[in-house]
Amino acid sequence: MLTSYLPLLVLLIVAVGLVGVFTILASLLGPSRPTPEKDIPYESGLDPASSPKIHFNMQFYRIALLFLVFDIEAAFFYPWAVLYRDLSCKGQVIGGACHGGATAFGILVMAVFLTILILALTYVWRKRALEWD
Amino acid sequence: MSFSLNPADFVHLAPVLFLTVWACLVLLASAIGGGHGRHYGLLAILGLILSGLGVALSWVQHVQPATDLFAGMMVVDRFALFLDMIFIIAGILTALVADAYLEEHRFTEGEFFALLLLSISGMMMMVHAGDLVMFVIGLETMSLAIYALVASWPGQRRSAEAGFKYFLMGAVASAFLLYGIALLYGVTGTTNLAKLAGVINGKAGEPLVLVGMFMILGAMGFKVALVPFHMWTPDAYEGAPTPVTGFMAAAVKAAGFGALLRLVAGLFSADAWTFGSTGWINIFWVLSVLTMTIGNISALRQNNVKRMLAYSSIAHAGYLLIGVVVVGLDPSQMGAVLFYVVAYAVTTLGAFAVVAWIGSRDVERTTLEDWYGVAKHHPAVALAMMLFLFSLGGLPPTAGFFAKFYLFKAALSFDSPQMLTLVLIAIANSVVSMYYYLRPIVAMYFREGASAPKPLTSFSVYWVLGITSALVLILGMAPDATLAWAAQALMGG
Repeated sequence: MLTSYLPLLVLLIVAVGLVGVFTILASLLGPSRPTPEKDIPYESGLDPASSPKIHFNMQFYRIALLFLVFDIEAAFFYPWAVLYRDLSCKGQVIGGACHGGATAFGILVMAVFLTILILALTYVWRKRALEWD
Repeated sequence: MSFSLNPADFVHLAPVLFLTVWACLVLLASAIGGGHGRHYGLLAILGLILSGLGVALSWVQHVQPATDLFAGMMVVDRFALFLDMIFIIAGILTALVADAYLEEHRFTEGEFFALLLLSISGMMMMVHAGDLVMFVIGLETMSLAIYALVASWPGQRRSAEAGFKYFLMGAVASAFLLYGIALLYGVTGTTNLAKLAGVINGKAGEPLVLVGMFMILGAMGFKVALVPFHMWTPDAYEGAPTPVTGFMAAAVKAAGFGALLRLVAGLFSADAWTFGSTGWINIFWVLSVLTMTIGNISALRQNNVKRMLAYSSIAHAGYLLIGVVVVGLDPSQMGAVLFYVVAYAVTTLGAFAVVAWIGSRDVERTTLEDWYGVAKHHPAVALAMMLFLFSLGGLPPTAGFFAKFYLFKAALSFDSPQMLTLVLIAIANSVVSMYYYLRPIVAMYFREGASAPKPLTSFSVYWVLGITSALVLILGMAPDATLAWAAQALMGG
């Protein structure tokens, strides 16, 4: 059973080996003539204007966090929408039509999810996390 | 494809669901109400009591285990209900201590109590899990809440550092756990514990199964702080707000061991659980010896009481591993192990309540010098602390004595030389541990303090000290009732 993973192992060895060999060859064969120009960090061809080590505003972190929550919510909606017909059918779905009665399961399951999300949003709103300053 | 939900499943799990909803309400109340934190502590305790009533009702009316809730995802048996009760009681005691502690250290936030409730509902999901996926969800719900609780002390560098360390290590452990589960699923095609127990027998020798099990074992070892996965423990325990430390030592450890016991029953078949050359029991034997010995030896040198109790909790995880070995050999011996969990949880909550009590806003007072002369100013609290330390060391007439007694008795009932060695090592360890448990007692009773401590004066802490010391004495003098309950708490029973 493990033998079926052999090609994967070969691929891994080849990938790591190739990169390793090229890196070593480049450092052995390539001439090294550093100049101040060459040593500056590459920023799409522009000279860096200031040090990259700056403090980011904490607000960005908060926005990123909120974005994540709603992004996941949106991602969660897709599979639910695709499966909605099946989720709302007690019996079999044949040719897009439900045989065997409807259930509220499909709508309820999303309602529970959304309620929790709205609770979270209310919390965020009341804690003034939506205001910029 | 058809989906069906049995409404009765919700009734079975009502205490867990209720607690989760209540946690959301506490969170919402704190956001809308704002203001003073005291009410949120009481609100949390009310929720815990209601949920606890549900668990008690479920225990009383329990006829047979429900093993196929939500298509086998959750299990309701007396084993899980018993642990639920431990979590809830630990939660109530922690909320009482936190109520006074947060007030003194000025971070009375409702979120603290919401997180406490959420972590308890995670623990309940964890021990009710009948499926590895549900188990991971419970574990993560618990862990994420605990990470936040550890780091919840605003303006304290050590608290933030402790939370961050714990979070990083915990994330790695979770990754290992998930990877191990993925490997097991790859080989067996199921994540259901009951089904795994049937399938894994014939595949025990497969390398992927071995790797998967080792990964799961390592992750669990991290969660319950077994040597060599214990490095985070002293730092996280020391940096966390003291009520959280007590909660971690009591409830998180109980949840971890509850889950470990379930996994042992689900993953390791009886013929793989032997002292033979390929037996899994050997690994647990070695981990147990390492954990109690290294935990105790490291505790010997600690001058910080909080840190010393952290190492002591590692040592107790080692003793509890004896219980895991015992239950793996004979599941009907569960009572002795659960009794140990109860006795240890009550004692350690009391001990950390004293540590929380002695500190004030200016000084946390956790070094031994800070404890000099406490007995002169506060004889009752000193007496309670002495009881807790005796119980941790295993001296009569306290809970710890009977806990160790029943555990060792269960271990010796197998009449095997390996078990005898294990018990002898554990007894030697208990003797060694008395040295460091006696040090705070000496400091409190036989040393003169430079300055009188300014402890918390809130009644809620005195309530906790009273309840826990009474329980330690009751369990130490009349253990029969609790032992009888614990003996009924069988997995699948």
